[in-house]
Amino acid sequence: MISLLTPEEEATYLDFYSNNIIKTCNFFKMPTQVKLTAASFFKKFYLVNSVMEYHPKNILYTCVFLAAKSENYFISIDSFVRALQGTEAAHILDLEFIVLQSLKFTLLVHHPVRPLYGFFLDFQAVLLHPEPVMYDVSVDTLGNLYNRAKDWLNEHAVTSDVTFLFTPPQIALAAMYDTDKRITDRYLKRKFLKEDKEKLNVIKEGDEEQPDQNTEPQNEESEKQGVVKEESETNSHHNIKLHTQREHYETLVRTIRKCIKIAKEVKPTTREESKEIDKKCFFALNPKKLIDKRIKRLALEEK
Amino acid sequence: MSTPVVASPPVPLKKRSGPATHNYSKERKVGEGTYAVVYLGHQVTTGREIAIKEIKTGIFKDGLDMSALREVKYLQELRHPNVIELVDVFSTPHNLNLVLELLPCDLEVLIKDKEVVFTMGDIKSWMLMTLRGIHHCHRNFILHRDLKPNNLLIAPDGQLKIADFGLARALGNPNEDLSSNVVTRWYRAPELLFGAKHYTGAIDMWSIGIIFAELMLRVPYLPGKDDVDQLDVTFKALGTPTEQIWPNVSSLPMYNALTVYAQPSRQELRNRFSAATEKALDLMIMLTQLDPSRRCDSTRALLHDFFTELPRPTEPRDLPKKSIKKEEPDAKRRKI
Ligand SMILES: Nc1ncnc2c1ncn2[C@@H]1O[C@H](COP(=O)(O)OP(=O)(O)OP(=O)(O)O)[C@@H](O)[C@H]1O
Ligand SMILES: [Mg+2]
Repeated sequence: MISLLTPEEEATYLDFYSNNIIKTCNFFKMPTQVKLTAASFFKKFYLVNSVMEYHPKNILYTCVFLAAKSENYFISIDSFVRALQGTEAAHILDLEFIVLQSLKFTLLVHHPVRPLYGFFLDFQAVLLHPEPVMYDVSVDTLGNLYNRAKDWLNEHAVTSDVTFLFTPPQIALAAMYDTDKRITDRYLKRKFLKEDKEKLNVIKEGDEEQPDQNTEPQNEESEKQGVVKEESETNSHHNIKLHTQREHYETLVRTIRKCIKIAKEVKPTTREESKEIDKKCFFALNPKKLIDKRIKRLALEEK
Repeated sequence: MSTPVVASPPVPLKKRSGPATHNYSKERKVGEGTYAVVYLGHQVTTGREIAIKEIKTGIFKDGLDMSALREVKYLQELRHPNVIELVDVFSTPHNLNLVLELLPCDLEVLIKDKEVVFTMGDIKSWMLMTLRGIHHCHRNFILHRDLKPNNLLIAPDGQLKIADFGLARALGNPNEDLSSNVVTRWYRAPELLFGAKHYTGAIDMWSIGIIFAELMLRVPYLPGKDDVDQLDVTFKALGTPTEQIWPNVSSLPMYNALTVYAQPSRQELRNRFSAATEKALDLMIMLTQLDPSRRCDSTRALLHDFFTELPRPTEPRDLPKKSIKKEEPDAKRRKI
């Protein structure tokens, strides 16, 4: 009997290969964008296919090749396979359409690096202007936080399942929160709780939608004037708003924490572990080889 | 996009690509572009008329063609009445096929068809539909990068649809260089002519401004003979950019000592576009600002007074169609 892989084994096996995507992309000095897209293609491919049907090695290379084209970082098939051992151009070209089809022809992938850059800019707006909010936080501190959060994404977001479970801005915030909880929390409070009493605002008609990451900084001047004029009648509104703001803030922090936890759950797969699974996988991919082996053994026993 | 109609998840994919072909019939060739042949066909299950864009192979030895991939990538993300609909994708043994809604006419054909008269209401209607389509692209951070009358297709019900996303790309990865060798020459914005490596949706807005002019003139507005001539033609018509009207223009890679032409006066523009109202001229001027940061974006263009003054934009179904004469050579060809 062919022993099939368990889902756990399959996941372990894929984690091992996911890491190879990063190595491959780094080898070709491909930009982060390509790396992230290739990893996403690879994961999505195995959501609908099994390693017992398609061996991950060439699928991985195909994903890198396709991602490079899709992200406008073209590399010719010849120079690509020249650097790969035991893989020929035809292997990749034959798989390319199959991969594209498994992706349901969806090539655009939204990565957390872009919202991360957006948050980097907004952190500056919220924490440094008009005057610094934290005595020890400057542009340099934030630049440093941004860079370390980028490393965090490379380390934890590329290979884990978070991209299937959280939105890109949530993942970006998780990276920042886990990198520097104090600064990130201050930002979130200022942004979502409007912690400064004075700036607490009147609810304008039609302005009650969820505060999300894209909410623009509100015009403080006009709101202050509004407070003076309408203070009495809006006090109860005011409390409701405070309450929902707090709820949104808490939900967001809970989501971020959950994201961090899942991102860090992946433990690296060792080469040995992967080799073991590879062996098991071999016969699943090549059932005829197993039959031949059995026949040989039976023939020996006969004698 | 919906999954291919033939798809049934448990069947291995390699076996799936074959039968997909039978879902669509390819009947006759209706057009040919640089990297694709377009056929008219039907969706077998529904009888719906569709266009099949078969990507030429053999010209691209590196697997799936980049333009085809771009087209699939971006059309997948866009659903809008003024953007062509990608219905499905399938493969025949050596080809990638995009199944598109059938759009039998394009704006270039209408502009060249001298039998057809355009009213200001017609022009307004086409401009409005083009702007709505591009607004949808831009708010999804997608640049078209090849707007021209030939890529604005017309549906049987008169709706205009932006098509041909073979050059499109996503905007907004900071610090990333973009190629300035995009957009068909006559519709190429000045920052591209100067080789800018960073640009925005303003390049599409320029193209729309030039198309607006062409709709009124019925001949191409800035028909440069080559890339150098394009600069000359552009600035002769709209003035040579200086540091005053376009700060930092001289730091662009291909900015050169240019013949200095004066900005056209309002009266000059009035003479050039005799059918245009003052509001039409205002919009045209906003769309063809040399400095991309002063050019108006799709939101401002859509809110422009030109669209609310009389005459009203023509209802799409009442817009001019190809004259019958044009059909004749086509009909003959079909018989052969
Ligand atoms: N959906 C469609 N319905 C009907 N005809 C179409 C459709 N799409 C394209 N065509 C026809 O096929 C021609 C080529 O298509 P398209 O512009 O998409 O290809 P292309 O290779 O990008 O061309 P080019 O490089 O010349 O712009 C068009 O000019 C048009 O006449
Ligand atoms: Mg075209």
